[in-house]
Amino acid sequence: MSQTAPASKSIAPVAPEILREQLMRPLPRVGLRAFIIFILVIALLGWSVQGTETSISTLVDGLPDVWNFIVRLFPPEFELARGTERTFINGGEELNVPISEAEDTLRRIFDADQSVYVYEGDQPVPLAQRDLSRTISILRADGLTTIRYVVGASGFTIGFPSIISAIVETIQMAIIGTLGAVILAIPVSLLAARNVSPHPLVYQVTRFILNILRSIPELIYGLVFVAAVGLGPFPGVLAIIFGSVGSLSRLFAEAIEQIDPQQVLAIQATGAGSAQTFIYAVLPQALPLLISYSLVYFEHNVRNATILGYVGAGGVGFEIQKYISLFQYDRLMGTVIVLVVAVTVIDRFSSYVRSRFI
Amino acid sequence: MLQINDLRVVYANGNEALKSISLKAERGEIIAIIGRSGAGKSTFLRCINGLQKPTSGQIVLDGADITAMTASELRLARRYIGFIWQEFNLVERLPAITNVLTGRLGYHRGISSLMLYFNAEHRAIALRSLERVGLLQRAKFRSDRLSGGEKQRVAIARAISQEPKIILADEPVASLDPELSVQVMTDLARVAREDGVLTLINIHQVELAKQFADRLIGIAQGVVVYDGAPDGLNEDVLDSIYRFDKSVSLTAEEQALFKRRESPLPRQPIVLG
Repeated sequence: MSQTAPASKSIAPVAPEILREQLMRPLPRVGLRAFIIFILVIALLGWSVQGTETSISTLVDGLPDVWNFIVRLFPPEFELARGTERTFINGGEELNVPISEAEDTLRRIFDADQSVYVYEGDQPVPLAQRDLSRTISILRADGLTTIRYVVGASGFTIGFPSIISAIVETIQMAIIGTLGAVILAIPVSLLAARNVSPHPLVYQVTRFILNILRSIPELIYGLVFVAAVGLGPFPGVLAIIFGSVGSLSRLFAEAIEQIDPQQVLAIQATGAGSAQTFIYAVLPQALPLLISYSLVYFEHNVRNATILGYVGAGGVGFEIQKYISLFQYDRLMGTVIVLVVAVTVIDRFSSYVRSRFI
Repeated sequence: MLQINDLRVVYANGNEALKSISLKAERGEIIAIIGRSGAGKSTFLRCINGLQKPTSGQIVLDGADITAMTASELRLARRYIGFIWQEFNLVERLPAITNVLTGRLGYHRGISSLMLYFNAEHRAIALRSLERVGLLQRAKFRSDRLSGGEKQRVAIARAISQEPKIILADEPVASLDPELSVQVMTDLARVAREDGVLTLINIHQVELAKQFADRLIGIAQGVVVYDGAPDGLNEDVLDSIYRFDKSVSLTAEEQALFKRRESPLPRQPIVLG
């Protein structure tokens, strides 16, 4: 629309000799209006530079501090030692024994020179003979009546960077958050798409609400939901849903506005109802774009969920904030490296999936 | 079976597409509607399946007036009205068989229809329809991979899987080359005759109309100017349908222009180098 309006204006007839003269000019003639616009743009830029205190000399003065910061990032520390451990067991026989007999039984087995793993919760932990009494008393304190243990097995333990579990949590938040936003956005986008909206008023109201949702940053949603449901990844999931549903609905609505109305008409002409028309005419046409936008938002949310930890809404952001405030820049760097790898893998994966659908 | 009384359509911009159309048609008739572009042929067909609301007049199909129906009544009525479009209007990203199955949507309500579930009866009807237009082998092809002629035959299969009382075809072969046009028209006329379905076809090609229709209706300037057997279509009738505003004779200059175009182009020697 915006392209046709000025074009139709410039169609006003011009005498051929004037047109010829205009077309022969090597440089465009600058009118008063263009000059004023130019001055206004320069003024706008100057005003913005002044308002943001943008200054090259401040940057140059600060360069040594930047260098200092960079030096302290290396070498990156992945916290392998302090990481979570996971024990893998090969074979063995799993047994249950009353806790009152546990210590005697286990000592007997140790005497027969066999390795023993005791379950702490669902996690089998290798047990050394010298720790036996202490472990049994810990298990007893948990209120257990029997303990489970494995004998005759070989096993090994792997240390994970502790940061991985935080990143996994971030990705889980992004998956559920994006899915929630997509499920909400599909019906909402039907109200917000001009061509399928039941009434122009519904369209306007929906767009207005979506604009409000969209203009509030995810971080604010994070703060609100942390206050509402407490610390942890769940408020992060809610923040992602609310932070994406506005934009996603708008993108979905635009995808639906691009469909061919004739195909919709053809399905309606068979006597199909409105839900059937949606499933058989609207959805098949819009689906590639809907999937594409959903995946783009999934990528976006993996990156965005990182920052939600800052307000206590779970994920790797909490760790990052901790390292920065404790000046543990080497650990910060380790975290960032792992994060970059994870985000890259996810971006590649989602690009691949998207390429299959378009 | 179909009775149309004094149908009039005036668009919001004041353009009077149909002035007054009245006609009667019976089961099994194949009727070709001819007329110039803009004569109101498409508007006429769109009125019959309720896509266009007429300004006045009645369209009575099997005793029910389509113009007086509520939206839900119209949905029920539409399942008996097959519509075939110039641009085929298959849902391009769905396979051919699913497009044919959409012809069953009017008979298949409820949640399961929204999960792409169709029972054996619906599927059998759809397969039979595809088979009748000779495209069973294309059933699993996505519709955008079909050729133009195949698309239109899938569209015919979609229409007949509705088990329609009436088929409306709006320029069904205008987007196809002459040979495919004949094939598609043959298929359309054949299934219509086999099922005894009343079929109204808007068509530009007078020759095809004469070949396949039992009855011709000529529309010009929003009124019926000819209604009768294909044989009765002589030059005068064609003039009244197509050249009603060219009653004045051509000027000498225009005549000369036509003459020149009719004579073969003079052979010109080909000069090389």
